[in-house]
Amino acid sequence: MIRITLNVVMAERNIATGELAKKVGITPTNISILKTGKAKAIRFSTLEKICKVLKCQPGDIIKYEDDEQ
Amino acid sequence: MSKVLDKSLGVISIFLQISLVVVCFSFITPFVYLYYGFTGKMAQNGIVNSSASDFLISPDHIHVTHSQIANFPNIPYSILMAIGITLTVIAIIILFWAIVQIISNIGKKQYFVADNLRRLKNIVIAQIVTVCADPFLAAGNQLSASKLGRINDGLFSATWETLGNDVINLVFFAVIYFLFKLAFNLKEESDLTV
Repeated sequence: MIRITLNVVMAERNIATGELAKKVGITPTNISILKTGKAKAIRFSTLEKICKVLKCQPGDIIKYEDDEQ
Repeated sequence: MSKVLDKSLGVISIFLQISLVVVCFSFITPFVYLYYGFTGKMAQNGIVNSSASDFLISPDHIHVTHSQIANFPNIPYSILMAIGITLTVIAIIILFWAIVQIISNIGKKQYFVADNLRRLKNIVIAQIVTVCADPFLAAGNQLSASKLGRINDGLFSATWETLGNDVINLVFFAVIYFLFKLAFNLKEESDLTV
């Protein structure tokens, strides 16, 4: 399964949901959807902006975990 | 949504709510049938001399003989009709309530929402209950037509033909439900794409 670790990166960068939403240009609700793992998909454009703001790689906020493990 | 459509839906909703209250009183009908059936008055009072005028007279059975009335299977007929009517009334209540709720959601501009999906599922369930009710009503009505020459023309006048129509309607409603479910899933996926 795909696990979102955005909240970990946000905590490391000490950035709040509202601030990140403002900088990325999406709504705080969408950031919340991402953080809680409810999102079904993420656009490349959104991912790019998040990585740009948080100065990280896509792999830092999206992780693959084997279900069997 | 246009004002005309909005008002039309409002009017339909009010009529359905009034109908719902009226339909609830139909729960008395099965008990009337059972009373007539178990007291042996079904053929005489409930069908041949029915004050409700729910029965059409077959041309070759204008007069019903005493032996026909005496030999009429009152109890099986009343049980069949009571079960059929109870199921039909339940189906109507589920159907009307679901439509009222869908209209209410449309009024609130909530179209592809989980509640509408659930209400559509209820409509399919109501149709399944109707299909279950039809054999009982059809068998009962066949008894009154064959034994007394009286053809039910009232609210609960289902025949075997009605059963076929209701099965087709069930397929129709099920297709609408599954299409709506697909559309709902697409919208949900779109909403959850960040």
